Amino acid sequence: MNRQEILELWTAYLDEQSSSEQDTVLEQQLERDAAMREFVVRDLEIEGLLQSLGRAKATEETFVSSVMGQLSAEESEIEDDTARSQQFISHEITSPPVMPPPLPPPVQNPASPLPLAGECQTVPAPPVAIPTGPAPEPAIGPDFFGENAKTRRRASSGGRPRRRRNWGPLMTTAAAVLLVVSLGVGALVVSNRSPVADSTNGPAGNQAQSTVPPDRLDPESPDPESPDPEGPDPLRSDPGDGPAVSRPGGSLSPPPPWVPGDNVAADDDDRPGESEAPATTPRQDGSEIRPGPLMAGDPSPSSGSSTDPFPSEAVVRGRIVDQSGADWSSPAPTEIHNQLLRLSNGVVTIALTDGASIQVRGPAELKLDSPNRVTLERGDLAAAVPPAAIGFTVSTPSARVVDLGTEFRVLVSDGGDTAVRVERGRVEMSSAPDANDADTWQLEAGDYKWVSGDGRRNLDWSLRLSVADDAVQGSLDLNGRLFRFASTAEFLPLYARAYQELADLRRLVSSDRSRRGESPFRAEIAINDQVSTITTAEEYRRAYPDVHRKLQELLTGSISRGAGGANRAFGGSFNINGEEIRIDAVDDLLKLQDQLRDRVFGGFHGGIDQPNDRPVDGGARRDAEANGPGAAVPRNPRRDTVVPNPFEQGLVPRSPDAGDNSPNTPSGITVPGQQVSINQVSIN
Amino acid sequence: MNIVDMTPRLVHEAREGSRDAFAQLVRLHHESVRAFLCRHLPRTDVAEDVAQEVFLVAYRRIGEYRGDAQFSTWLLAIARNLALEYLRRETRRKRRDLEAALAREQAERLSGLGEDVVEHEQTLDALRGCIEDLPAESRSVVRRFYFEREPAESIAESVGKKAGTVRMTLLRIRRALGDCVRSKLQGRGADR
Repeated sequence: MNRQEILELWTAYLDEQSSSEQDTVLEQQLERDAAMREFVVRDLEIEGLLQSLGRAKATEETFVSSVMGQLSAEESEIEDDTARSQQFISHEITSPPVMPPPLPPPVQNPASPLPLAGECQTVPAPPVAIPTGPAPEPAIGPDFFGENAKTRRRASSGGRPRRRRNWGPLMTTAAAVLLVVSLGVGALVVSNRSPVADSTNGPAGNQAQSTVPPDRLDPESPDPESPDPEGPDPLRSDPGDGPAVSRPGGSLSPPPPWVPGDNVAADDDDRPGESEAPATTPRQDGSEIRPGPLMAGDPSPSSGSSTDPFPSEAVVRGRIVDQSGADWSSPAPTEIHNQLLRLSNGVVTIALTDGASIQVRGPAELKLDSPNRVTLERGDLAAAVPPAAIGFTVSTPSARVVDLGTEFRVLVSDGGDTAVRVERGRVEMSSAPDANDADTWQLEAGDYKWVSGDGRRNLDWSLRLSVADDAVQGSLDLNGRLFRFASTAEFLPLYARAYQELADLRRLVSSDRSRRGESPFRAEIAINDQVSTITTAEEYRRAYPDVHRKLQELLTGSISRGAGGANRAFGGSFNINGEEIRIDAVDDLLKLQDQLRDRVFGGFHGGIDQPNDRPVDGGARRDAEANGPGAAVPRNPRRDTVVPNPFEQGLVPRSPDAGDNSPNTPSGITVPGQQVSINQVSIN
Repeated sequence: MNIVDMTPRLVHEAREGSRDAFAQLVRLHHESVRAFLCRHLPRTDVAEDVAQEVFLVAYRRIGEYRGDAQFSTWLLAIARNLALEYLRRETRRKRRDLEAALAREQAERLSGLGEDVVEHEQTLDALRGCIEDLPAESRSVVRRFYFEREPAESIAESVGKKAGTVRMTLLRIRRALGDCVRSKLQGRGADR
């Protein structure tokens, strides 16, 4: 290839007109030609400068408002800390809360179509029993991804990041807002509709109980004992009593726009012994699944081969039936045996011999372990499983999904996180691909669940509340435990817990991975039936202030109206490291909060990620790396100086300057890594 | 334009908590920061993301800016750190593709630049001048392609050429601009 040809490839690449094959060729050419490398990098500099010069001035105001909008969002997050102390206090004032019994799990109508954004809050799904007959034969067409493709962000460029893209989305102002924040299955709803009614649609299969303690929500917590599982937090008292992860998801969440990260690339590491495990390896199959209506007996009578060992690699496990723009990094197959399939781009439809149909969107890496079993190392997979193929299993590095007659999707990020979205029917999901003691959930249509690659994190909460005048009611689903509340007094302690989840979520969306769209983050924010879908941290940060304001109004209102407002006389005591501090008035509490901030929470400056400082690469501090001018100075000095107190009326104290991990349980507070502890808190 | 004069006062006000002042600072300095990042990062969308991050970091840390360097220099130092961080992260990925290769080269180049971010502003000035110095026809292509975002295909059509030819023309123009910038900078260095 001569220099001219290389330069033609290069200019085509710059103009986003090259194919990925051409890019690969170009990369190889550059690899062996240092002078050319130098040339293109210099050219890239000028190109970038010209792009910027041509654009920056015209987009000045959008840029400025985007930056300022993010600042507002961050400030609002700081205010959010204030909201937390509000709950902290409110909890005390209203405790002990009376916990309602868990709701019976709701039933999802498997046949009901997923709601469209904008209408999901308006029409509650009618109660429908789970069908005991075979699920309707799902069809999977080449455009299965189509509707979600609209919501894809960077992945829409086919996995190859392009220049000259995304000036727009970056700048777009977040749409009007608000009422649902959902992460994964989770959602936070502030609506005028009573969601309680909707969440009691009837009994459902609740064999699977969530056994993930809330602690596991936060893998980065430096102290596994905080929050204290034995603490008085009502939400922790009965981790096993809740119903399964099941809820009227169809009335809540449209399909999450899984964004297979554009950097989810096939890396060169095979997993010896795993991806190449012989298909004959017996793995637990139907026997591991608690028998449900659809699982009685042989899960797949017409396809016994799915559970039989395969004596020969020659068995055809599936066939490619459609490829659209597929780029294979491995040899393009038609018949699939046990080879590792690497799809760098495009969408491929594979018919498994036992009847399941899957579509895989690259970049992906997968392998058919049997005619009814797939190992998905990474990538985005959608499956439609006819009744004959029930028991179809997708194993990922972090999870196992067993079909119970469904359509579902599995996304595996390059970090090994697994997200599952059930479109129709049910699946059983386990938090580990093989382990017998894995946590197991049954997911129903509309459900969305995420298990992290490191197996520690499982972020899954859903708060639905309705606010009408002074009344607050709703339900809270925390990792499958569903609690109902019908008053402010019941709500506040729950919200305190939910706040913690939200803080976790905030950290999640701040994380580098989700910033790149690689994490299956999803939030929906809607107000007055106007729903905004959020798929990037950027959008989340912009939308967050509105959610927060809503909650803030609610809390401020409810507190001032009686649950411990400024007019109400109260007293109490804190015991901090053995020193008892009496409080007799709100003012005392305010002062105490200041003291707490200085004495206790100040320690957080040391080592806990704060949401404003996006952790990168598994928590490595950006600040530590990006030692810009004065990196050693305490981060976020602004918190102490500029932040306006949103509660100037004196209703609530200023925020403890805490990171996300700051305790919000009312007593037995310990601060990770600190000597300071608050042993007792009592008010009134 | 009194950027130099206005900045210290705005910095002062921003440190006192004035959001308006900070917004004004963003307005004054975003072009340079964005250009710096577009110059040193492989994708403009990434560059834009990082540019916003630069200002967020600057806002958080404005209390640490002591005024012993130009504010713009301080911003570019943040930009450089964030850009390097990004590039190194890209490089650490095991991926082997064109973009990763470019990121590697860019990381090398940017870290080779050292702390001399002041050069950037001069480069930007020089580039503006060099664009003006282009022959009218070339200037027109630059304007249409980069400033008006006209696709290469459409430019090609209007001049009766192939898109590939236009892209190669742009490449030659960029090379000429690069040479021009370098000679201007050297000239400036010689003046000192």
